[in-house]
Amino acid sequence: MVRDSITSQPMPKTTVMIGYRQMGTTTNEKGEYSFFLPNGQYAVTFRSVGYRTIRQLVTVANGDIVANANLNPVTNELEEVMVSSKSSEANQERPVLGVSTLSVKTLKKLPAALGEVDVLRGLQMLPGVTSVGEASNGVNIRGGTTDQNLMVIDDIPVFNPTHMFGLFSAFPPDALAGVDIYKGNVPARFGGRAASVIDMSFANPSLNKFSLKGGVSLVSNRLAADLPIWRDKMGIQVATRGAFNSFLLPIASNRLDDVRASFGDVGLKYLYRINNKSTLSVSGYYSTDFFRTALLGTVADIDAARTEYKHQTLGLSARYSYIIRPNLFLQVSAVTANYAPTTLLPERITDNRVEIASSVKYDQLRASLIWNRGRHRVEGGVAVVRYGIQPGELKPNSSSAVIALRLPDEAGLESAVYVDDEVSLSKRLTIMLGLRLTAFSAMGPATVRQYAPNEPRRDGSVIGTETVGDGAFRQPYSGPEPRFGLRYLLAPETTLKLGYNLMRQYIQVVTNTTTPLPTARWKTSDEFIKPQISQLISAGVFQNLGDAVYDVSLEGYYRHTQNILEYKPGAQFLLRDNIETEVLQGQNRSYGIETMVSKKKGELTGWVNYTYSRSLNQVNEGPSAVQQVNEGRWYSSNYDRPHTLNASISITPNKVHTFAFTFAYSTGQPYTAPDGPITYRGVRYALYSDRNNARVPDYHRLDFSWNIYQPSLKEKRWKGSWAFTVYNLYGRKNAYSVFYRTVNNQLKSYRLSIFAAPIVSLAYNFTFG
Amino acid sequence: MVGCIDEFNARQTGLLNLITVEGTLTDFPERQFVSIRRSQSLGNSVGEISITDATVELVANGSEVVQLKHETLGQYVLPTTTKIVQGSRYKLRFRTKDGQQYESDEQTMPSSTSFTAIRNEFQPKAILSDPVSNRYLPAHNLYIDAPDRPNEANFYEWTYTLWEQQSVCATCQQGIYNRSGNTGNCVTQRSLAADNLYDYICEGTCYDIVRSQNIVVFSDRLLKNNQLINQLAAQVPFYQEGACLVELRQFNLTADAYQYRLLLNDQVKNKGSLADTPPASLVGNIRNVTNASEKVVGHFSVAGGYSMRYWLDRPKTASATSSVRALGLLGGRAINPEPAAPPFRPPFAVCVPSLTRTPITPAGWRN
Repeated sequence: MVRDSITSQPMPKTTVMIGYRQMGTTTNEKGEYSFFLPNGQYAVTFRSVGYRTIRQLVTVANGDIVANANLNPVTNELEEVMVSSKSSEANQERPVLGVSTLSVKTLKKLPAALGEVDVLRGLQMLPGVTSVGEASNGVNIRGGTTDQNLMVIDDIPVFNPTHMFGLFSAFPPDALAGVDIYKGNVPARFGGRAASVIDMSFANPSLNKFSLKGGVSLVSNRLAADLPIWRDKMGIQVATRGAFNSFLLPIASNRLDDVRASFGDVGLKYLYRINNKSTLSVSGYYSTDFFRTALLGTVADIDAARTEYKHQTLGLSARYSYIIRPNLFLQVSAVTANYAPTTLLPERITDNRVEIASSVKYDQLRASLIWNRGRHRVEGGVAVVRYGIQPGELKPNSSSAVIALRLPDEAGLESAVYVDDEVSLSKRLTIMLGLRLTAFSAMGPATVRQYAPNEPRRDGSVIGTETVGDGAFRQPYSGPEPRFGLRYLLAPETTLKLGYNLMRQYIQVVTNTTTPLPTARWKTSDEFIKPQISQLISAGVFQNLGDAVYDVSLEGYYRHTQNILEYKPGAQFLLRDNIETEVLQGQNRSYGIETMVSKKKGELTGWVNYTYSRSLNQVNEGPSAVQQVNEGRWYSSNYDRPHTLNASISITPNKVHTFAFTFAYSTGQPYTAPDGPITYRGVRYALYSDRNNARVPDYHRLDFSWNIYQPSLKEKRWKGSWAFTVYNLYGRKNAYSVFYRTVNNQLKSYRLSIFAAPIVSLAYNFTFG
Repeated sequence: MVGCIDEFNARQTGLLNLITVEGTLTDFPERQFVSIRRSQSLGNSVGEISITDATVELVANGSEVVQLKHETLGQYVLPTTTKIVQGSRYKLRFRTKDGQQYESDEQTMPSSTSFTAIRNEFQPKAILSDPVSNRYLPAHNLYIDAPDRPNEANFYEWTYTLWEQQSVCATCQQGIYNRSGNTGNCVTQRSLAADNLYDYICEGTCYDIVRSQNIVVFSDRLLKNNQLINQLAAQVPFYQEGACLVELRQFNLTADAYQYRLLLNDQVKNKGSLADTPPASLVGNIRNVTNASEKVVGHFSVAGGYSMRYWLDRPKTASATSSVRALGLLGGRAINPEPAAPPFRPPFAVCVPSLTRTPITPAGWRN
């Protein structure tokens, strides 16, 4: 007999099959069925539309056998999607419209390169999120640069989100609870970056149960522990990951025989429930990297055998929450973070390593109040951030050839007052009104150049200097950032959303590479580099179908950004003061249409999305050729990839196995191709003229994963699972870059592929507790 | 990670049609010239065409005008009577036949500085020759010590000229070599395979002349104690195990000549990785006076020079080189002489002087 597991009602017309379509029947009105079978063992499958399929093994041995089944309605299952818009209930709790949440649990089931669960790669399966390729130091959201995303973990800003030059995300996967992505509406409490917010949170420690989890993959080893200290009061969670296996790389390819790489990261969260009204939490994040390969070029004017990179991030945040009244909450937080990248240059003749060190220091204080009253939910607060940048220090160590040099420290102060109010005007209409007022100034001490007016900024056009005293404001900028969101229920399952955002960005990466290097320079706005101001308009329709089993969405956006930063041809940033002579500012316009269909429940879940989008820049500071890029015309940004299609399916036939496929397609990213030859001392070189005037071939890739959870199915304290992954299943040589070299006086073009063959990997994961 | 590089037939043809200038005048007592060409689309490919009919002048110190005369391949030569003098200011200007007038920024001739010791070190993997196979050529690194003028910004470039003793003076494909007086030529033999190569031994001494292909530049902005020590100045490919003669030249550049070379060099170093500096347009210091919007590519400069000849005695490093095969002077091929048929075949070949070969023993050669 077959019943509904929730209502216990008999289920008529349920398909019952023996073996693989050997024999089949349907249940009658009473939910009953019968077969006449010879003795033996049979696989019986029960299938009904809207219910989770059940398979049973039945042994027939002389006599009647009863095989009953209770089918679980799919609509009753938890959503199995990597991304969900917040449900309407959740929206009542947070004054936010249009936030997407990345499920780390679902992400872990999807294929991962080399078995490393990767938040940034997961994000790229979403519409509107792209990158410049497999090794890219961050993601590009709706036509923005990587540094236009505010990326925080428990309020700690992340200045470099990847390990090994972009191959892996720099977040310990076992520590993360969730990732919220605000690519449309951004709540007023967030600010400082122009495009989007990626808000990650560490999982809260368990306050009553000790547990361990961890794993081993080809690349890294992981261990995480939940440590209750004081039952129901205090606990700590620590998650670590370390990769020291670069000695394995030459097995993959002899090209990698000189690669040495190691990385590690730690996530920590301490939680103390002081009493019923107040809670204190402290989060820590540490990330470290070392990378060396002959693929990296050397630094001009320092004679070195090769280049090595190392970088470290250390961040701490403390948050105190206090319930003043049942509908009024206070939250105070303090954050400090330090990002310190270093370039190491081993000298050719000696054992000495010359170092080029730099750092970004970030300190923030914030206080906010959340007030629920009637149809209103109001959040308001103040925040102050101090930036301290050491842009470059040359440390010769024992070198006899290189001087010691330290560029002047840079400092800046950003302050903000914000408030937003989510108002439920009716059952159908909810709006969010927000305003953030920000002010910023670079601070002294500094010696500021004055350039001749109406001339390109260069060393030769300096007409004087001005000294700014310690702590004095150099060039203040301020302005309002209005935020607006609207959610309207067109029909019970159909939602219309509209949004408008303005955001100001006062700190940015200055880079002349396709994706910022870990060592790329951070620069606050000053007399010459104006803040970036971005305005985004977005609109979307969201439709639930089939009792919320399916989701369909269609979104469009247009974004305009003033004062984007571009480098001049031949710009040099390393150990250079006055980099305003090396950069130009312009504008960006990005627009796109994003469509997505997801199936969120059932044996087969997944989604397909297609995006058409453009991201174009224009730089035209003046009439001179050195004040323009591409003669002041609009041109494709590095991550302008008009067509993107992502698909992911996950099949979970039972509790033991999950199979998943992901497919990604996108138009190839732009690159700069030569427009002709030029001869220098009898050798022919490529002559480049326009930036980003060609595209690498289209990118596509299929991945597969098979997760096996606790094959014995017995409830034990130790639970193990295996993840078998094939990345780039059909071995496409996707071009990361196309480049040109002169070989035997001939100009030749080459393609660099990063994962040029199928990558098979196996990872073992466990939990104990 | 299975990274790989392969050859890829990417776009190489542009729609450009622009003038390119290459010219660095020095105080070396030798032929001084600037080259003026046009880089443009030639049907399916892009090429360079020499501009042979321009009027080219060098303006010294704002007033003295010297005419440069076209000789060959767009090369305009300075009269031998005109010397480039350290401390003087020079500007290049030229007018094309269609009446367009171009000129360079003025450049002040830097004084030259000397260098002292040259040391060598064998490096089995020195020069990337093929990104696909990740093949590096063996070479000898040449290091110098040099004083650096204090209290001023100094910019250097090093080039080398290499003389290698060559034993093969002619190679015939699907043919044999015939001697006629002081010259010789290959005569096709259909009986031989199309790819058959015969090599003919030189009649007397003969030297191949190899010039540096890499750009080696340096600025002293991060240099300690006004002294260049163990500065890598050249990488001489390991062509053969016998000794060779290297002339190493040091140029003192102007600041923008250094920047221009640095830009070119970034492209040479390009390996497609994300650490690459992306290609940049080579806007130099030449502009069209009559039409400011015309893009002109190239650079004119003056440079003080100093040179030294160095006997690179390779057997001294035999222990280091013993496991590495020399590249040879026939592109890695072993000598394949025509089968002997005495008394007349095979003949010796003539060492024909050219830009890359000379029968005259260079000064400094040791026997």
